[in-house]
Amino acid sequence: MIALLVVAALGAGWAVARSLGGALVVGFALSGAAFAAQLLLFGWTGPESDVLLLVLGALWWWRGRFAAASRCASGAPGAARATSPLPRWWATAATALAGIVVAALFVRHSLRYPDGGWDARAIWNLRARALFGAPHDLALVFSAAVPHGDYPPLLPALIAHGWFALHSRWLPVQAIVAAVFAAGGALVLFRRSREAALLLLATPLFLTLAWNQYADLKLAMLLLVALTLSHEGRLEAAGLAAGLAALTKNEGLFEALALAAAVVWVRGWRDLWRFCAGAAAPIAFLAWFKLRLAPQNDLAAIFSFRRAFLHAPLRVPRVLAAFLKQVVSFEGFGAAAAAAAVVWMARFARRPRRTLPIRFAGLSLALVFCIYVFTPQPLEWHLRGSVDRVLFQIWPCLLFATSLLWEPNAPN
Amino acid sequence: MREPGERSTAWFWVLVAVASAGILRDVSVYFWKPGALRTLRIDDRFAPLLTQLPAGERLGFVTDAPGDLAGSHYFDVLYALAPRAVDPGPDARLIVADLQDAAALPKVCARFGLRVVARGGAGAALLEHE
Repeated sequence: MIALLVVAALGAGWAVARSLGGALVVGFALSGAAFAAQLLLFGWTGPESDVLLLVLGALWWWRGRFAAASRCASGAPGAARATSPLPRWWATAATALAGIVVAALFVRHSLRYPDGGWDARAIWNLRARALFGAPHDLALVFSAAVPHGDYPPLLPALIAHGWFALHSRWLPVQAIVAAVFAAGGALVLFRRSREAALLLLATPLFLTLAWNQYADLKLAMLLLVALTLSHEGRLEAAGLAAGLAALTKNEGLFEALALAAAVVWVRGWRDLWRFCAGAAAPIAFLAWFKLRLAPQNDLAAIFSFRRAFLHAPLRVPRVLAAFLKQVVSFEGFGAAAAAAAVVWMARFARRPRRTLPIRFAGLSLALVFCIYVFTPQPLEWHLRGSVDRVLFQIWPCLLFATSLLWEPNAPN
Repeated sequence: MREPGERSTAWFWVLVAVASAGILRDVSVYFWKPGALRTLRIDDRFAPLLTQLPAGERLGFVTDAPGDLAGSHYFDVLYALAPRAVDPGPDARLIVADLQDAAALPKVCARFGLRVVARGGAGAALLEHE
């Protein structure tokens, strides 16, 4: 059963993303989403969703081959490869070395704390255990008494799927899921730019959010895959990855909307429809989950437009200060955010700005800024508890955009 | 004007310096500071209680931890005993205690009129009303 899960996830992921990193991220996210749908809609806990994924993956692969053949026949250009300011093997060797060190630290700390960090135990891993232990008592699993019961079900369902496939609540599954997404995201960035991948690995939050098994890292990697696929013009696949991001965490829906806005801004309405077609299934399932199962969101329950707009002007400088503090936060972003900020300041005016990743970087930063300006929670409390994690959700995408700015051969 | 090769070398060393800062910080926090490797499993504390818990019954929860720490202990109990429903407070028939100070168990029992049914590890116990 576990072999079928892995083969179905990798097969479907490869069909959609066509790279090892993308296959890991999208494939296992698809596996979690499909299992969540079969369990919550039909109450099934068997391998049905894996079989379905294999079939859908084969169809998607066949459709992709047909589209690629059409592109070749029409002479349309394929996805552009990144160029690097460094000799390729230097950057490859440095990134591989960093990857080995970070992977070793991840394994060691996951052995120390196999249950993950505080939020992971209280939210996603707790819900995964509830889904595994009481798969047919959804009122208990998504009880309003449990924190963030309204969070989308992809990650808990993926972990529970692993346990059902193994017929045992084997503790390392949680850490393995975290490792798969972390490694997959790093490989996606590595394929695009060795330097950007090195900076991601050197970001302390990358390792922190990986070992503590938070959903923020999974969301960040799904957004990165969605952005790279959008940049390559594979809009249906990008929409699917963005829809899966929305199924991972509440902020994912807003970030997927920001990516949709960047798509329509740079590529036009026709490509937006392609993006939306890819996102349709996960978003439809998310809507069903929110309307039928999820308790009310804690922020939505206390949000007031009048109070939000009244407080907003006073909050702008405080949120701006908190964001700037994160740029130089050594424990959060090491020296990587400051280095990226220097690249943006030095190169932004001299590089093409109409690219999708750069537009998305601007839109997503503005979106996260607005989340804090309009939050109904006490601002300092909300910032202290989450600003580093929420900024990390878009950090791999910001690194991808940064890699476009330092490419020496990019056209001016 | 610097040659492209020189510029590449400078780029490389800047990048290595930036990356090294983050990686060395990780090595310090996750390798040096925590000391010898010791696995901490939350389930280990509660495993002896599991055989005593009737399926489907709502449980109570008490702790001696103050403020936010009490919440941390509560979620550890929810996590370890999932999918069982656990309500904060001593109102249920069976109550799970997760104490910061294991020696405070008699005091907690006396305060709520409870007695010990089973003991777990490091401050965990299953209690019932006297």
